[in-house]
Amino acid sequence: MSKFVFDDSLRLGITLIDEQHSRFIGYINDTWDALERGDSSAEFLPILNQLLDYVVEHFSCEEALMREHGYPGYRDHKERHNQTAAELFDFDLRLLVNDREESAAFLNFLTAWLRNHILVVDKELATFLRDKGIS
Amino acid sequence: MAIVHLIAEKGLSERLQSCMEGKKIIGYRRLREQDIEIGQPLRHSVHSETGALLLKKGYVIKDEVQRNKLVNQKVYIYASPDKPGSAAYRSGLARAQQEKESDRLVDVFEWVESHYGLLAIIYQEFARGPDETTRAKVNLLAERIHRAAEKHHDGLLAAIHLAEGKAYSHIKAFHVAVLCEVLGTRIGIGPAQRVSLVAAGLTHDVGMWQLQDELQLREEPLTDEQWQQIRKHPTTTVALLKKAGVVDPTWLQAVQQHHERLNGSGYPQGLKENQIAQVARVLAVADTFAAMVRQRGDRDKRLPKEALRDIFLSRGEEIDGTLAQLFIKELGMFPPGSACRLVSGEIGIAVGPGTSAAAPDVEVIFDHDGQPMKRAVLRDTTSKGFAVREIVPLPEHPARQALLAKMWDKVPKKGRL
Repeated sequence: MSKFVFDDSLRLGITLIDEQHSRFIGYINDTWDALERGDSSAEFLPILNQLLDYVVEHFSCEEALMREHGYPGYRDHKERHNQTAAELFDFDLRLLVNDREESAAFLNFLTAWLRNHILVVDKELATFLRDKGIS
Repeated sequence: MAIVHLIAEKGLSERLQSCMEGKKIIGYRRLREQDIEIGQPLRHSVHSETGALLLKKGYVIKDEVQRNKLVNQKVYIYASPDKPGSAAYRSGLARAQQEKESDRLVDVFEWVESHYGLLAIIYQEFARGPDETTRAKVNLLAERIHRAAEKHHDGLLAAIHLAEGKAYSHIKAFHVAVLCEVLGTRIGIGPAQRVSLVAAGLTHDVGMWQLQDELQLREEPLTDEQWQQIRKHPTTTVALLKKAGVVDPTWLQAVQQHHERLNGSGYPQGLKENQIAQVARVLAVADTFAAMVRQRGDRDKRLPKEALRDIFLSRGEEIDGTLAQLFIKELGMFPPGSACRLVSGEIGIAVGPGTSAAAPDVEVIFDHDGQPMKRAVLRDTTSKGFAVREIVPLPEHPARQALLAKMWDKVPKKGRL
């Protein structure tokens, strides 16, 4: 069962961003599932490797939208992206291989972070973009 | 002379091939000096390597310069065949053999090794005082990298990554050149401009390469004079390139601006944003990455993931944000040539992106007990049990080079496809 449901409260009304968030949540849910199946925690390493790749793409895409439309909160938003990206890059995935608690903690961090990021900073961005007539 | 430009470099036509092998049209042979009498009409029409008509029978060659130019091109005539067994016939056969030979397929390591040799000669010439022939050599090498990289960039990147005992300045430039070709292709820079960019990649530091290699050994901080030299090196390099007869604006601009940064913190001019040409931005990303993943006197080498992290975090400030993203996407955390330990415990080499750059195809050559394997086995790292766990130093393997050489397709020695 999916731990993290992409429900209407998370939908921001900007198609491109919503699509990416839903994919992002999909990766996180796959990882939860792999952890819960519990045959081997090593199984979700490929998903995590993929996740980092995806984070880079998603952040870059949001930032490109912000630049394109002259978003005033760009620097602040990008700085938040930077903090998370640095944490993800620096996170030693090897720790997860044999430690289920570490793995769960890591996924909790990601889930909480994404939910909060969507509901606070991305929501502001979405409001700004919708006011500009973008959907 | 116009003919020079007419000759398409396409390899031997079938017709010519059979002639070379002495089968059917034995009358088609390379033009020789004695076939031309200066001031007299040509006795034969002259054809290109691929059989296109270049000069009609009856055309008058005016002087020796014109004659020599023509003879030095690979051009052909229909003429009475050389008698089998005659010296001319034998030398023709030998030449044909040589031409075939020189375009033979070599493995990526041999390819990199032989072209590294050419690059070393180029750098020596820049140190002594470059001229037109130096520029021609760079052009040739850039063209070959451009052609070979189209199908073989993973192999080339891997061979460069795994090369040992090379001068920092040279191998880094080689790496930068291939990365420029790869990233340039990714963002849609046209082929002609890419060759210029690759040439810039090969030569971007020639104004200070000796200093660069000396600094490999340094333990003390840079002196003021060395700092000055570094800050000036894009300009010094451009001056050297001009001395070698480089006039190509793309090449010169990329070199001149490759240390400029979007936020104005770069040098020598402190240019900002749109003042910096796209080719220079590409060269900057490639140079940053290639420098970080190699050991330098004052710092250890870094893992690709760490280098990509730094590139990502400086997106939009120092490095073009779009380029940073595409570069990371294209290369992935485990670029070709990285030795990886899989979850299975096996160790192998990333040969190229699998289903995505995040999950490379890995050819394992050590089993889960760390025992060297006789044959490499391909693993899909998206599949259960074979995910990449970490990058490791490659352990000694009795048949390492032989196994590595088979992991990538062979490359035509001259970079032809």
